[in-house]
This record gives sequence, C-alpha cells and structure tokens, in this order.
Amino acid sequence: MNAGLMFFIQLVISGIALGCLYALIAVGFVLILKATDILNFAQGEVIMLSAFICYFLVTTFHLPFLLAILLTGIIAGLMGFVTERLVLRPMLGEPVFAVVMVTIGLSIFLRSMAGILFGHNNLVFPSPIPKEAVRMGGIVLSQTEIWLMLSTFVLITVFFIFFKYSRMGLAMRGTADDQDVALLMGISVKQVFALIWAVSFITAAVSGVFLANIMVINLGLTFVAISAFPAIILGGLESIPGAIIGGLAIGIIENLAGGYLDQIIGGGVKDVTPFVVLFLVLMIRPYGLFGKKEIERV
Amino acid sequence: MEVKKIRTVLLVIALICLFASPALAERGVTKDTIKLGLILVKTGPVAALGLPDGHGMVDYMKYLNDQGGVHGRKVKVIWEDDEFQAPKSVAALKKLIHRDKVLSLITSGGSNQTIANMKTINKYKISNIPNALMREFFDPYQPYIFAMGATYECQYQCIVDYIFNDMKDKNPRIGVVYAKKEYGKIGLKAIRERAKAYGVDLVSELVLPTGAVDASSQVLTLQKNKVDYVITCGVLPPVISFLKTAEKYSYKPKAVFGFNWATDDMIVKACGKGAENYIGVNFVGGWADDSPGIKLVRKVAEKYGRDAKSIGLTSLYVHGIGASYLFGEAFKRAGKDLNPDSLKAAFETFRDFDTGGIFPPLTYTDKSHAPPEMVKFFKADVPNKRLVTVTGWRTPKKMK
Repeated sequence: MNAGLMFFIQLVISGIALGCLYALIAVGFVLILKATDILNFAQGEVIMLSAFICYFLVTTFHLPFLLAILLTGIIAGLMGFVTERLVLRPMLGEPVFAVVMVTIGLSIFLRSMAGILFGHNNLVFPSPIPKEAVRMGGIVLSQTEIWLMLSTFVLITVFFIFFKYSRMGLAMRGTADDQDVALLMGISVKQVFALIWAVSFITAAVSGVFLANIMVINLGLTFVAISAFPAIILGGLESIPGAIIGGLAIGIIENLAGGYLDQIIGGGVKDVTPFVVLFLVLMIRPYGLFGKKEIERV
Repeated sequence: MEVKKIRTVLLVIALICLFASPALAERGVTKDTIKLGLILVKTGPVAALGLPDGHGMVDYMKYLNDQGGVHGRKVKVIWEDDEFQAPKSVAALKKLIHRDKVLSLITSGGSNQTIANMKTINKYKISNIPNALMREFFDPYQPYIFAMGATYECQYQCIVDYIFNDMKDKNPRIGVVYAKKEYGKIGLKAIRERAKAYGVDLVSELVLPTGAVDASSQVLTLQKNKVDYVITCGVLPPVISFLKTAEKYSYKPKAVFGFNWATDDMIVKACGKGAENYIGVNFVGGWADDSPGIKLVRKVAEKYGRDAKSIGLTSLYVHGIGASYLFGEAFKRAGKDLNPDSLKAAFETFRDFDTGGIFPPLTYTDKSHAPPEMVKFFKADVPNKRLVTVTGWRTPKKMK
C-alpha cells in the first residue's frame, strides 16, 4: 500500500478511536436532553470527577482496575440519582433557562468539590492496559483505543436493547416523546427522569475512566466535554444514534483536517474544523442529521 | 484664645503627620514581623502550577523564621488565590495593601495578573518576582518588578544551539508543535529565526492545543515529513499527550525538546519509555541536583513534610523556594530599616548573586532588573522516573 493511502487510513482509524470518546460524551448529554429538554452543563465535571474517583480507588484503595471501573460507575449512577432528586426535581415546571442556570451552578459546585476532595495536582493514572500498540497491516492502534472502541460498541448495544425491548426503556422513550401522554399512560415520569440522570452519569463515568488512561488527570478534564458539542449538533440534539455518528464523524474530520490542512493553512485548523462543521450544520440543517424537524402550525 | 486654639489644632495635625509618615513608609513592618503578600492561583484548572510554587515560597519563609528570622523579625505570608484571573488578582492586591498592609509581594502571579497590577505595584512600591517570563517586565525597566527566569526566546535559542552544537547536526530536520498561547507564538518565532540564522528552515509547524486528547495527526505528519528534532512549545499535559502518541506510532525522533513549563519529573513519570528521547530546559536547578541550593530545597521540603509526590511539579517548588530565598537575602541586605525603598535598593545590590544552583547567578541594578538569560538542560532518566541535569547554566550562543 502506498504511503499516502496509509497516512489517510491511519488518520481515519485514529479519528474513529477519538470519535468513540466524543460519541460516549455526546450520548451522556443527549440522554438527558432527549428525556428532559435540559442541556446539562455539569456533564464535563462528572467526567472529571469519575476520572479522579477511579484513580483514587486504584491508587489509594488498591482495588483491581475492573472493580474500580465498576465502583466508579455505581458511584456516578448514585450521583445522577442524587442530582436529579436534590437539584433538578425542585426545578420541575420552572423555565428551561432557570434549569440550565442550575446545571451551570452545579458544574461550579462539582469542580470546587473535586478540588477540595482530590487536590489540584496533575495525576498520572497507573493504567493496567499495556502500552504496546497493536499493528494490523501497518495500521496502528493503542490497546486503550481498542478497549475504548469495544466499550463504546458494547455500551451502545446495551442502550439499543434497553431502549427497544425493556419496559423501563420503553417508558423512557415514551416520556421523551411526550411527558403528558406518558403520565396518562401511568408511567412514573419522575422515576424515569431519575434513571435517565443515573444512566447519563454512568456514561460520563465510562468516558472519564478512558480519559484518565489517555491524559493527565486534573480539573482541566472538564473542558473535553466541550469537544462533544459539535457531535451533538451534527447528530441532531436529541438522537442517540445521531450522537454516536456525530461523534465518529467529528473525530475523523478533526484528524483529517489536522493531517492535511494544518500543514497548508496552519494556525490549528484541526481544532477549529469541528466548530466550522457545527456552524455549517446549524445554517444548513439546524435539526442535525437525525434530529426531528419541528413544524409549528399557526 | 482663638489663636491659641488654632495653634493647638495645627500642632496636633503636625504631630499626626509626623508619626503617620513613617508608619506609611514602614507598611507591613514592625519591630518583630514583616508582612508579605503572595498572589498565586490556588484553585481551578491552573492550580497545579500555582500550588507547588506557592508552597515553596511559604515553606522557605517558615524555614527562615525557624532559623530566627531576619534582623529579629519573623516573616508572615498572606496567600491570596487569584484563580489565575486578572480581575481577582487586582482585588487581591488592593486587599493586601489596604487591609493587610503588606510590605510587598513575593509574587504577583502570572503575566496578565502582573500587567493588570502594574500601576498599583509602582504606586505602592511593591517589589515582587512574577512567576511569568514576559520581556515587558524588564524592558523597559520596571522599578519594582524583579524578573527571574530566562525568557522564552532565550530558552528556545539555547535549544536550537543544542541541536547544532551538542548533537552536532549540520542539517537537522526540525519540527515545532506549539500551543496557540503567548508562549507558543513567541517560541515558534524564536525557533524559526534561530534555525534561519543557522541556515535551516523548519520542516513542520503544527498546533498542539493545551487540552489535546490525542496528537495523532501531529505525530503522523511529523513522521511523514521525517522530522528528527521536535521542539514543543506547550505545557506539561499536551507534551505528555504528544510523547504518548509518538510512542504509540513508534515515532522516535532524535530528540523531543520542551521549555521550562514542560521540564519536570512528571513527564518521565507519565510517559515512562515514551520520554526516553526527551530533553528539557529550565532556569531552575533539578530536584535531583547535588548543588547546595537544591540540597537546601530538599531539606526544607522534608522539614515541612513534603516529598516529590505530594509536591506535584517539583520544578515549581524549586522556583518558589528560590523566589523566597531572594527575598530573604534582600531583607538581610536592607538591614533593620526595612521599607519599600530600602527593599528595592537591597535587591539592586545583587551582583552575580549565587543561590547555590537554585537559580543561575543573578544581577539586579538600579537600571536593570532583567533576569539571567541562562538555562540548564535535562534528560529523562527513565528507570528512576526523573529528569537529570546534563549541562551547566548556558546562554544562547552569540551569532555572527
């Protein structure tokens, strides 16, 4: 295979790996948005907190990595429940803007708590995943990336089965479609909301654990969540498959822009490109690839 | 009677003025204490940089006090957290001057914070050592800013010199990955110009953002362009991301260089073998150095219950101790009559002042407060998870 083609394929493959991370983060946002119409601005903080929690479970309590991930997920789920019960439920019926402001307040609170509980140092996660990269016909992937892709695939499959076939999944979809009808059908909307927040926080915890394996752990991890916004918009705000495809697309686009345009145009095109995509999508197809076009009859 | 009353009032006013003037001049100084301020980020995403620096500053002052203080006075440090935000820094300085009545500041924090506070610093004669490296701090001369730390230009010139002179490469293929921050842009320009002076053009100039999750496109592009010397102009987290990604793709340039904000043992701890070819420069001695100054740093850390792990970025702790060490020396030189003017004058008596390897020898005069433009080179010692010093203090080579 010629070098140019290899370069392209490698950029695409590593873009998919990066995209899986964006997809995971985006799904966390979309789950809440779809069911409750709230964009949770504290999602980045949950990711960061999960990374810290997993780090301390492994280093301070010397738990095996898999058990630490499981416990991190459980703690994140509980945090989701508690957040919904104590912070969001009292806001039921309030304007969306007020609720969004509450999530911004929550993000500040969680960031401060992380600083108090875990300190402000840069921490290096003692990753148990071997560093040796896997080579397949000249294409290179780190073992962390392979685990990330597998986990994303498993999580998405679980979500698919859960939403399609389980009773609670159907209740959640019903609530997302129309809360009033769901109430009339005897669905406990409050219970659905609590569960949605828990599931969303667990998804954020999974992305946090992978970020801990890839990056230095510090309070700055929260900002990675911003990278998922273009994916959410591209996918169509309230669509889970859209968030996944949006995440993957943004990962690939970002890498291709970095590989081909950064050298020619310079100045960090790689990081700007996802937001250019976001801008274009908003102009051409504001409801995204999989979003529903809302038509209001007057 | 009227005239007598007026005379009495005038006398009282005159007496108040007489006693008030020295009180103002000796702000923050009593017969047994010196009150010093410290404005440095303690919380938020940048706190990892401020905390070790500040702890170093506070610990050395504690050490100085435990040694009996200076001229019978103990130093009291009041640390204000500016969260790395200029408006909060401005408010913190006002509080320190007007409420706490500090004599001076050990540091006014980063570039933006120091610039925002410049007028107040000059008005209230606040001698301080910023923990940032802007040329504007000493060129033109700023009477109360004592710059410490080689400028970014100097650091990158030394790196390019190292490639040509130490690594003896006559035609190196140099690539730069830089953050779109002030230091990144200054660094890129300095490298470009220095390489040009040696007759070489840069092969690649790529942006690596501070919050980079992955550096695949940068590494693959450098690999494709056969770059054999990578110079990074970024802080620790993105450089760690870069080295990890380079290891993943088995990209092994002859050397990857970094400047002071990315020259810390943390890089070897985080990257392990991936940091094998990493060479950093810094204007402070390394934690593992055998110099008397660094031995003192380790002694102070141990005395106050800190080790390398709890400190975090040890290079910044060394910087913090160094800054307080300079203040301690200035207090000694200022003598018993300590006030903002005598403190400034004391700093200006430093001539090739030797900190025992914490900083390079430094000189401040009443015409220049420029920092010593010197750095040391460090290489990764992977088995011991640390950086080790490989050169003495160096200045950029004089080019024809």
